[in-house]
Order: sequence, then structure tokens, then C-alpha cells
Amino acid sequence: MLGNLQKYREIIISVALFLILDLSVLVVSSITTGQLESDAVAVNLASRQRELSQRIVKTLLQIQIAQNAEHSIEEPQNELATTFKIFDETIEGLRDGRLVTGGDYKTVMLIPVETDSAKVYLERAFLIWNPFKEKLFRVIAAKGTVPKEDLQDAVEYASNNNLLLLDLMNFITSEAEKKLSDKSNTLRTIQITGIIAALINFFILLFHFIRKLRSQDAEITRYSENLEKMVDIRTRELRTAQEQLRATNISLERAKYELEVLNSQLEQKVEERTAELKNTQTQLIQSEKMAALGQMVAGLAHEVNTPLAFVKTNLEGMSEFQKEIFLLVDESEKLCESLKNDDMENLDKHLVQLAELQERLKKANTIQDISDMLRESLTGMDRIQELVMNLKNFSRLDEAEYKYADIHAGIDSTLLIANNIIKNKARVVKEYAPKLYAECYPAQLNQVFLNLITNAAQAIEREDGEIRIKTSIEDGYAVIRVADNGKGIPKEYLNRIFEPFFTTKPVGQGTGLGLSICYQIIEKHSGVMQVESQVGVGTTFTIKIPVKQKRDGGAATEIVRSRSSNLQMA
Amino acid sequence: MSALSNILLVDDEPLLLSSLSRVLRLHYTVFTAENGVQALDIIQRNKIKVIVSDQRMPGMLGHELLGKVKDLSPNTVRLLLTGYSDLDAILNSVNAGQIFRYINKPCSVEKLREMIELGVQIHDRIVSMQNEAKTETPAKPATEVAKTAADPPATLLFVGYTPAEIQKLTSKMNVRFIVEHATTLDEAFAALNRVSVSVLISDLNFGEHDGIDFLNTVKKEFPHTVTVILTDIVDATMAIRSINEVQVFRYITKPVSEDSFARTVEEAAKKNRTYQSTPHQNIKLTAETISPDQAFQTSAEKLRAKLVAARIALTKSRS
Ligand SMILES: Nc1ncnc2c1ncn2[C@@H]1O[C@H](COP(=O)(O)OP(=O)(O)O)[C@@H](O)[C@H]1O
Ligand SMILES: [Mg+2]
Repeated sequence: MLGNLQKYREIIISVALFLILDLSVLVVSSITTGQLESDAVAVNLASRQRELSQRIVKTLLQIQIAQNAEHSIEEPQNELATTFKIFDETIEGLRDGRLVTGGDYKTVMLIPVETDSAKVYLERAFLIWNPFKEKLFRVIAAKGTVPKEDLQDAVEYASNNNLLLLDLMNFITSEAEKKLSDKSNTLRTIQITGIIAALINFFILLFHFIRKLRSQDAEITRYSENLEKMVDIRTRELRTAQEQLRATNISLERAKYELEVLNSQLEQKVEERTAELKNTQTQLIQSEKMAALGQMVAGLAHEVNTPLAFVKTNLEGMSEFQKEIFLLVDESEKLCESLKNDDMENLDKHLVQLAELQERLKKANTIQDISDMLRESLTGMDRIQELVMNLKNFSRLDEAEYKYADIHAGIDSTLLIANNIIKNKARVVKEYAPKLYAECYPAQLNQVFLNLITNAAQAIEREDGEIRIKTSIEDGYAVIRVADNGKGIPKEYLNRIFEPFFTTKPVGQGTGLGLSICYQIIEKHSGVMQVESQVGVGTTFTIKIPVKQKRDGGAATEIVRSRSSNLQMA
Repeated sequence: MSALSNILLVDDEPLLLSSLSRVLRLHYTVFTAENGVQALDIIQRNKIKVIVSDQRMPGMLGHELLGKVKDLSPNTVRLLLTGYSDLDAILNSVNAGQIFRYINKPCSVEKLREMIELGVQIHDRIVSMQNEAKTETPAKPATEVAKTAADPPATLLFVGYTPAEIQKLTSKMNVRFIVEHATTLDEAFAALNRVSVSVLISDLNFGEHDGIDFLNTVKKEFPHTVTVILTDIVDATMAIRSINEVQVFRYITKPVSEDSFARTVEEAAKKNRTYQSTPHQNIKLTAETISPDQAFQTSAEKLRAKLVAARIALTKSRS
């Protein structure tokens, strides 16, 4: 702000100067003009005095004439009085300054004469006027007729002095005129000076402004040059920036493109990975199946091995005993031969030998042994046959369709298969409904049973392990419960056990896929799978599948969702 | 015919017990038990020369039962029938010295009889040897003093390991040993002929040659040498063969801590010393070396030839 004031100081000063100058010229000229007016009045009145003095003389003469002709003198007497009064006023005004009656009988202000010569002239005029005044006064004051001597006296005085008075008035007038022209000259001078000063000021200002403008122009030019330069630089910079931007843009485009490519590659990769994962998953499921199968096969091998072992031992034993039997047969044949041929000599010998043989066999209990061996071997063969039959039942590879199948038969054959796993751990208690059939994939259900039974057996840690299998029919659903008195499942695991790969078992023993596969199978059957468990007490798995499958799976699945409250799946 | 040997059969399958006892009854007095508890009861009340137990039984597993039998009746020769069993149990029982032989199930009656007969013989010899030892009692303390007085450093022979590995394995040993090493079987035989090896530490993987056959050959020629197998081959058949054919002292699977390996080797060296200082032990030793399994005859013969060649080469170079 202050800087700005500083900047405009010159202008402010110039303008102030200009204003003062003009104003003072104005004031001076207006004063002077006022003086000129009063001076003009003075000139005017002074010149009127000449006329008035002549009129006084004239009216005096008119009065004389009228009196001589004995006419009324009233009219010239009045005129004389008026003229007298104005003349007197004016001459006094010229000397002292006072309000006087002007030309149009208006009152004007008369200022006293100023110049010395005028004052002298006025003095001399008074010297004439004062005696004249007395003489005239008597003429004016006379009633009817003016005494002759008075009138004569006045006329004589008038004709003697009138010219002198007139001259004096002339002098005064010219004095006033001179003063007036002087004053107007002064005024003109002042005005001209003012104008000149104003002009000078104006020119100074103009010059100043022009200079200022020019310097500003120069500055502006410089600025603009600078600006241009700067603009140039900026433009260049902008251009580079723009180019860079364009380059960036291009690289961005490229990056975008690359990203798109990557994206599509990624998508492809994701697809591949998903496929791979799916593949791995199927492989894992496969491996769980294989593991289960391996376990089963190992178990089965043991189950088959045992009867095989004793059947084989029996057969080997029998082949040893067979020699004895053959000897016996041989000996009896020989005895028969001797009997037929009446060969008494040999008959005796054979009889003794036969008796010996019989004695030996009897002592060794061979006959009994052989029958035992045969019986036991047949039992063993039955067991092997049953196992093989159950294996066939269990896998039922030939069935790809829903079958109305005996659930109990499935559980039983599963138990047989799993016998090897269970027998060291627990006894099995069955609480079966009288009859339980359901539409299902029997082989898959058997897999579920095997998983549940295996898990149950693996969970048992106590001596009196027990697996309780209970079946029933509840509103159109076949219900199978597998309960154990094993270690139980901690609460925090309860909603995770159905997750694929969730296992608490060491590597090699558990894949963590068993229950997730069970879940899938039961879901496929439009069924429900639930678990209840208490740590240290035991675990119960419950599966429910519809006895009759709905042909369109949708509604049944709904039931599964709403009913499987205990069941959470990742 | 006066006194048949007492044998005990243990299996959870009664029909197997009955079939076996029928075929063995003529030659032995056969006791049977359906589980470990019953078996232990019988062992305590009868002098049983040989026990044959199944591995897979409810309650007590076979190797556990035999471990207990070893404590209750040390002279009873223990046979384990393994149909289907896990490797861990076998390896543990090998290293605990619980089992004399493993028998694969099912096994022919003939083979079983042969094994049992061998067991009975060993039992009888051990018992008679113990009786002899008892009569010679006064001499015993002297030998023990002598034994502790001057123990020459034992010689270890490593076969099939890198020097770095050997360096690492021997780093934690407190007792001083002479360490020999061989990378090929030829080198091993040469070393065995050159010095008296107390403990042989061997891998089982020798390419064309069967590791067990190699050890078997060594065992026959140098019965006093104690064998330790240190390998990364984890295989039930190998483990069973290492007991049945070589009577390996320990079967260790890699990796092993240097500490426990040092302890094993010290034990093995001690065992070697007892073999050498008490000649009676040799009876058991030779009895144990009667190999019932001749399946790998040809391979073993080739190895024996190698050994002979090495010996000839050695004598030639010495002369
Ligand atoms: N009957 C049960 N008792 C206790 N825990 C169980 C039982 N059944 C399943 N589990 C738990 O659920 C986990 C998952 O079971 P599963 O899916 O069959 O896999 P895996 O048996 O291979 O571990 C098991 O590891 C175990 O912790
Ligand atoms: Mg499972």
C-alpha cells in the first residue's frame, strides 16, 4: 500500500499543484471580477453624474421659464428634487461608499474612489457642489413659486460652475474607467498566467506521464520480452513435458497392453492352476481312496492270511497223515489178497502189521485229526469265501445307478472288511431297526460307513472300546448313527473336521479327506450328516438319507441345507 | 521219546493254533495261548524252550510279548510270525534284541519245524553252556580283572560312507578307536583280512551286491566281528533278513545323532570283547550263525569268492 502511495506520489503532487493553481486563479479572478463589477458601477454612476448635473441645469432653466410664463413649476421642481437627490447620493457614495439608487432605480453598492487624483477631483467637485446644494435646496423647498433671487442665484451658479462640475465628473469617470481597465488587465494577466501555469503544469504532467508511460512501456516491453522468453522456456518445457507425457502415455499404453496380456495370461494361469489344483484335489481324493484301499487291502490280506495259514497247515498235516493211511490201505489190501488166496502164512503177518498200524493211528489220533483238519479247513475256506463275497459287496463296482439296497447288509460287510482295524480296539454293538432299505449308491455308502467306523476305531484309546451302530427310519429318512466312546473332538475342531485335509492324525495315518468325502457322498444322496462330540466321552456321527430319492435333486438339497445346522463346511 | 521239548504257540486265531499243534504234536509238547497274557502265564509255569508268536494280536502285540518273555525267561528262544506288521515294530524289536528269527506268515510246516528245531538246539546249548560256566565259577573274576586291565583300542571298519560322513560320525566318541574305511566290497574284504575288526559299520546299498549277503559272508568268516547296519534303506524285508541271516547287532536308519551312534558303537565293541574273552559264548555264536535261509546262495557264493581272492592277494603281498 505504502509502496503504491510512493509510486503515485508524483501524480498526486502534480494533481494537487494543478488544483491549487487553478483554484487560486479562480478565486483571484472571481474577486477581481467582483471588484470590476463595483468598478463598473462606479464608472457608470460617475458618468451618470455628468448627465445629472446637466439635467439639474436644464430643470432649473425649465423652472425659470415656467415661472416666467407663470406656469406651474411643480413638474420641473420634482424632477430637480429627484435628480438632486441621486446626484447627492452618488457624489457622497463616490467619496464614502454607500448604497445608492442605480440606473433602473435599483439600489446598488457604490465604493469610494481610490486613486489620489480622483480623490482630488472629488474634493474640488464637493467644493462646487456644497454651495450649489444650498442654492438648489432653496429652489426645491420653495412652495408655488421660487423667490426670484434664489432662482436667479441658482441659475447663475449653475451656469458658472456647471461646466467645471461636468469636467470634474468626467475626470472622475475616466479615473474610474482607467482603474477598471487596469483591473481587468490585471485580471486578464492573472487568468493568462493561470492558464499558462496550468498549461505548464499540464505539460509537465503530460511529459511526466509520457516519460513514465514510456519507461513503463519499456518495462512492459522488457517484461514482455522476458515474458516471451519465459513463455518460450515454459513452452519448451511444456513441450518436453508434453513429449515426456506422450512418452509416458505410450509406455503406459504399452504397460496397459502388457498388463492386459499378463492379465489374460494370468487368467490362463489361474485356469491352469485351478485345473491343476482340481487335478491335485482329485489326485488327493484318489490318494485318500488309495490310502483307504491300502489299509483295507492290508487288513484284508491279514484276514485272508489267517484262514489261509491254518488251511495250508492242515493240508500239509494231512499229506503227512495220508502216508499212514495209505500204508493202512495197502496193508488191508494185502490182507484181503491173502484172505482171497487162502494164503494163511501171509495173512497172519498182514494181520499183525495192520493191527500195529491201527494201533499207531489210534494212538496218534490220526483219524480224528484228519476229520478235524477237514472240518476246520472247510471252515477256513468258508471264511475266505465270505470275505471275498463281502469284498465284492463292498466295492460293488458294477453299480452306477441308484439301487434300493439293504443298508444293514452294507454296514455288515463294511464291518467285516474293517474287522482288522476294529478287533484290537473295540467291540461292535449293533442296534438295528427290523429292516432298513434305501435308495442309494451302495458302494459309496459303504465307503462312508468304512470312514466313520475307521475314525471311530482310531479315536478309541480306552480298554473297553465300543462302537455302537444304531439304525432307524425317521419321517422318510434312513438314519444311521455311528457312536464311539473314544477321545472325542474338541469344540474348536468341531466345525473344521469336514474340511478337506483337516486332520489331527500324524502324516501317513490321516489324510484329512475321509469326512469331506463322506460329506460329499451324503450330499449327493440329498442327505444330512451331523456330528455330536464330547471330549473324553465320545463322538456320534449321524447320517440321514431319504429312503426314496427325489428325481429332481433341488428340493431335497434344500432340506439338507436347512437341517444341517450342526454341520459346517468350509 | 521220554521228554519232548516244550514249545509255546501264540496266535489269536484258535483254528491256526489247533492246526499247528496237530502237526507239531508228534515232536514237541505243544502249549498254546490266544493272547499275550495267557502266554506269559504259561511261560511262568512251564519251562518253554521256544516261543512262536504272531505279531498282530488284540491287546499285546507279538514283539511286546517277546520283549517281556526275554526278561521273564531269557533262555527261551523267541520267534515272531509276521504276516502284516509295521516296520517300526520290527526295527525296534531288532534293536532291543528281542527276537531270534522272524517268520513270514503263512509259513510251511516244514520250515516252521526247522526253525523251531534250531531254536530248541540253541536253547539246549545255551543252557548246557551256562551249566558249564557255573561249575567254572572261580575262574570268572580273574578274567574280568584281566579284561578291564588292558583293553587295546578296538578297530572300526566303515563300509560305504564318505570320509566326511565318517569324520562326523566319530566326532562324539569318548573311547579311542582305530578307524578303517572302505568304499568298495573289495577294499572291505582286504581290510578285514589285514586287521582284526571289532565292529563293522556298513551300509546295505552296494549296487550289484546284496548288502545282507556281504554281511553274511563276513559273519561266517569273522564270527567275532559285531555288525551294525547304518543305512537309509527303510525296508521291512531288509530288516528281517538282517536279523535272520546276519544277526545284526543294530539296524540304524539315517539320520542318526552322533551321540547315540557313539553309544551304539561302544556297546558293539563291548559285545565284541565278551565274544573274545569268554569262549563259551562262541557256542551261542556258532549256533546263531546256522543260517536256515539259503535263498541267496549264489550271490553269497560270489561274495565268498571275492573274500578268498582278497585273502590270496593279501598273503601274496605279504610274502
Ligand atoms: N470318531 C471320531 N472321534 C474323534 N475325532 C474324530 C472322529 N472322527 C473324525 N475325527 C477327527 O476329524 C479329523 C478328520 O477326519 P477325517 O476327515 O476322516 O480325516 P483323517 O481320519 O484322515 O484324519 C480327524 O483327524 C479327527 O481329528
Ligand atoms: Mg478318517
